[in-house]
Amino acid sequence: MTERSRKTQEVYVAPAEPIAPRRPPITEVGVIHWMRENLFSSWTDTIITLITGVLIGYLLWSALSWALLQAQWEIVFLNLRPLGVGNAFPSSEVWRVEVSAFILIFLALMSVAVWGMIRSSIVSTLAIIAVAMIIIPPLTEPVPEPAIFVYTDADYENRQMNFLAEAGQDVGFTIDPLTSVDEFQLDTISGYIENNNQQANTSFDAYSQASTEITFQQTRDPEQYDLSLSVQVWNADGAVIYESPFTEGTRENTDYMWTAPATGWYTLTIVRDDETSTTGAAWLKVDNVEVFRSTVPAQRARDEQFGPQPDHDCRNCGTSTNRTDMRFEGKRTIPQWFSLQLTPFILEVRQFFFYGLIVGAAGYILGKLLLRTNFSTSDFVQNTERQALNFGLVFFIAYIALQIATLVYPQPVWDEIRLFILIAFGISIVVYALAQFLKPGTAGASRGVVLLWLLSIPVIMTIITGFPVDANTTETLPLPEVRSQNFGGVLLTIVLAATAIGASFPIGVMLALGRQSSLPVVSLLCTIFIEVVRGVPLITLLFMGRLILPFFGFGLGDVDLLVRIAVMMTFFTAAYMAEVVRGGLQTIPKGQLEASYALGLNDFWTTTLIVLPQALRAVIPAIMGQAVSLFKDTSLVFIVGLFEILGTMNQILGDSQTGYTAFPREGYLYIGAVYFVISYIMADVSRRLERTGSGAIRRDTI
Amino acid sequence: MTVTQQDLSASRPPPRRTDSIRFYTPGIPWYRDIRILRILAQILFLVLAIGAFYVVVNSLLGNLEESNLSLDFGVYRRPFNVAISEGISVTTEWTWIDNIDLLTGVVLVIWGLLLASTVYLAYRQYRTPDGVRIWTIIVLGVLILGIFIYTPDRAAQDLSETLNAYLFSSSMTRAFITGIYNTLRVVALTLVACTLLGVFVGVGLLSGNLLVRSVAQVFVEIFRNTPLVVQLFFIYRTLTLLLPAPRQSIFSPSEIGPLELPNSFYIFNARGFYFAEPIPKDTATIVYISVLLALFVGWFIRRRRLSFQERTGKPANTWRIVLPTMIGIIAIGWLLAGVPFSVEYPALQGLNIQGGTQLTIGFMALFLGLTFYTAAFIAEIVRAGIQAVPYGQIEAARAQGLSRSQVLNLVVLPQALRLIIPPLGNQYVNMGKNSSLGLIVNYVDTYRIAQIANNESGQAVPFFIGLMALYLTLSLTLSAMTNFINRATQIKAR
Repeated sequence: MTERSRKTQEVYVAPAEPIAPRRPPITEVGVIHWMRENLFSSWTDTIITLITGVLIGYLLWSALSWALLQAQWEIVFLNLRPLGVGNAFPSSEVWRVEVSAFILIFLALMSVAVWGMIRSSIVSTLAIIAVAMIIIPPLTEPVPEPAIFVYTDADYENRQMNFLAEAGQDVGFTIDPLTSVDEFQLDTISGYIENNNQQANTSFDAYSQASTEITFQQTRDPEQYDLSLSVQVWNADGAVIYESPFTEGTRENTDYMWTAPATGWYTLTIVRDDETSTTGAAWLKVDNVEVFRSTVPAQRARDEQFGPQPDHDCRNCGTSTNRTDMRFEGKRTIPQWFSLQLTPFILEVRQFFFYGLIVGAAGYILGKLLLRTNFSTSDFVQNTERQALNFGLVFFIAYIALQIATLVYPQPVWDEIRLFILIAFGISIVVYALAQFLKPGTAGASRGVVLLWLLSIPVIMTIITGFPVDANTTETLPLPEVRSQNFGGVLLTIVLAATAIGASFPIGVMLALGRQSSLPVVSLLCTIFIEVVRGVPLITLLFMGRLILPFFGFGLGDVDLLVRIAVMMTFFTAAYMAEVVRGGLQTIPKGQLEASYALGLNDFWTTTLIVLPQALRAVIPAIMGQAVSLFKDTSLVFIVGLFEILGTMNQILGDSQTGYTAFPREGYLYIGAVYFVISYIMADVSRRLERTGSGAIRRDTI
Repeated sequence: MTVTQQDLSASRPPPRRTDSIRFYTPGIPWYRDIRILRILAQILFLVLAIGAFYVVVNSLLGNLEESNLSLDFGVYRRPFNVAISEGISVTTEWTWIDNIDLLTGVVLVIWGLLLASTVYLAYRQYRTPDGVRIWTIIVLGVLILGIFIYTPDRAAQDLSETLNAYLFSSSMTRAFITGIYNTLRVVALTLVACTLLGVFVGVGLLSGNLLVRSVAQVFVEIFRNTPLVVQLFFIYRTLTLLLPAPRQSIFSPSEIGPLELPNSFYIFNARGFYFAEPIPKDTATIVYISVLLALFVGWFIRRRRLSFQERTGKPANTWRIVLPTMIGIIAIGWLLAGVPFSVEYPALQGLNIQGGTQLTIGFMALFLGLTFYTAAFIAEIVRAGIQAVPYGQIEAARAQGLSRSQVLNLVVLPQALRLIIPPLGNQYVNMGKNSSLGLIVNYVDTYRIAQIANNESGQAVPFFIGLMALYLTLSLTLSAMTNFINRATQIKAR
């Protein structure tokens, strides 16, 4: 059987032409394959995908519709200045902070240029934002602000309202008798909230007021209406300069027009003829009157220009209604969101953004140019460098000597000499840094960038704090002093974080070395310090900085609160930094130490030259993580009464005058976003360092 | 020829102690002798440290005296006149609590000694026998329990029915005990919740499903990169803004389909969340005993089944036998007891909700904020731990024919756990310290009590020291707990 079947077996021969490759099944390529692999790999996966998808969709939809149609972002974009530098910062000196910010942006982009490449995704995002900032404002149509409504009826006292008018401005008044329930009126004013100076919060809500009044109207007979009303305009001195005739109970709308004779404050009063008016209610509608923003700087500017609001003693008048602010609080449409929220925000930040963009681009280009310059063989560069360093050292020693001399034997003339020496020292350092840039390759440029960063610290400190003004002299200095208790907002956050990170680093290294020391006493004391500080919450230490540190004496009571808090934060971070550095010290192989001792280095030089450089490089990512953590912890200082960005936001939310009490969600979301962006960037840098391995010891090369 | 251990040790000369202590080495002057220099350096360091400490403390005491303040712990005996909205107070029968000014000092000294010894033990971490550490932890725990044993004050609860507040006009010590109770309550609950959520999100970070993975990623990034304070403010203000006033409270549904229910299983409003509370009757003891019995029987059966599996190689099917047995025992106990619990429903009375268990908005906000924030960090730790298990292990386990859940339970998790637990302990310590942020959501924890006490008496230093001692004890207990678990899960090196 088998023999025969083998004989009859057909023989297949490979065809002459190669078989055309078949296309892979449609489920194994492209989008469908990707979806099958990532979303629908099994039936449980499919169910999870569907449920999660529905949940995410719902969450995103409700969050977006809230953010676009309901949220009041005015609390953010009308308060950018207080959030940036704090409420107490003198407004004439804000430019100094902006200049410092530009210096930092310049240096940051220069460092990016020297040490790496800027990612194309960031460039394209910035480009999209820039284009959007140029395009969006002209495209959005301003939402016309509604006429102002003032309600009055037979039982109300006469109503009064202050407003500003320019010379020749036409103001229209309409007395609208409420003889029927008119939905139109509700629609017109719905969504706008009136923010009243006298009344503390948003309770004087035009919408809720209107709806109560109209419900009230439904209970009375609309046919009965006999109000006789008149409109009076008073000038700032309280003299009546316009008076309309009484309406004598007419049921029709009555329009009046009035032209302001001069620019300034006017007071509008509704006068009711009490003898003939017995029942009914009416709206007074005022057209073409400016609505004021209630921010503190805006109020201040207005008061400077026009003087304070008049406060007339009006017989038989109700609370005078000072129109300061109107906010759209009802349901919005998307176009209304663009014109009411996005465009004002863009207009607020656009200038700063574009200046920052230009400065950053300049820094980046300069960094790249310097990286490519090659004066490697130039003796001039090397000579300059050496001479600058020598001069710098001489000036530095001279400065220290003069400082000591001032302490021992004060002479007024030495102050000027000292300033002169300081400037000379700065110039030699700049020259040294520039010479570094002119050296070949990355090494020179990066040393130059580091020097510029170091140089920027005193420069920025000087720019922001200025020089103390002598009380005896009346001459005005170019940079008058700004005390540190006036700092606030992002400025304070960054000052605190930078100080604590910078100062805690050397202390942390010392503590770590102390803890690793072979001397038991030193090791024990360092360990106790580290463990105690790590074991208590930061706010306990801040509490100590505020309440107990002044009692320690040594003049600590006179020190600024900011400095005391910065010191406590430094100690706190130093303890954590010590643990991080200790981790790095433990990664050093013992062979390194033995080799170093074999070369004849003693303990000090072994630690300085062999151990620390390797240990610190190994823990750069962890140090960055500590920096992120400290940056987030700066938000705690509001508890002891420093107004950094969160404290400033609490001030704004708590200030009933500005009427933002109802918008904590918007405010805190913004604060969270600021912290998120900065922390995320720092964490991302740390992750990239970790991935590129610039930190870790390369075992294969040792 | 075989060489035995005996032979080897016999052939080797006995070790000689060459490093006997000698204070003088011939040929080296004492000022070049490293051993003497080391001792001198340490003495110098110690003298400097003690001197600085003495000067600082002296200056502090002098300044305190000048401003009419003192280090006197008797301030804990002063009356505390602020109403505390939640927590538990020590029974008024224990009047000695109001007189513990001296005792407070003693307790603080003992805390200090324990603290020093724990720090010292932590410093000698690698050289200490386990017994001493465990013993220290036990002493610490017993001491704290002994001091802060409380019984609910029924009198205060009666008062609360009219004021909805525990009004203290008693000593600062009592207020501190209430604060410590509140701190421990939120820490204990958060500890459980953040671990569960963190592990869940951490496994989600490694999910094959793109949607799940990205949701977990977004969760982690958002909560890790924003400050906890901002999160707490946001949660607290949002809850108080969106939840209705007590009169418009949200009640649980009164009917689900055909079922009619009392409509107050839970009530939400801007003051808090209220839940129906089971009140044990006398017969409830039978239920408790039956639960204990069920646990014991369950443990016994499980042991028997496991030894059966080892003997025969047949599957143990533990849970298929243990679970019904345990449920059965508890059900019989319940039936025997009749109706062991009566339910107290919360109800709207006047302007407030009375009865039931209350969780204030402050507590909810702090609990949620701490849980989310810590869970985000724990998720990253769990992800890193699982990813550190070599993939070959998983492949090998699959090749052995283990199911997916067996691979996870028997191969991946036991190995990952060893990497997860140490950083997890750090997170627990951080969480314990972060619980002091309760003051920004009006939660009356220890820190808030210390702040109020400071405002009331103006004596910052004693309260500050008490606060430091408490948080140090909390941190060290949490880290000791983790170390203990860590040692239990590590591979025993042979």
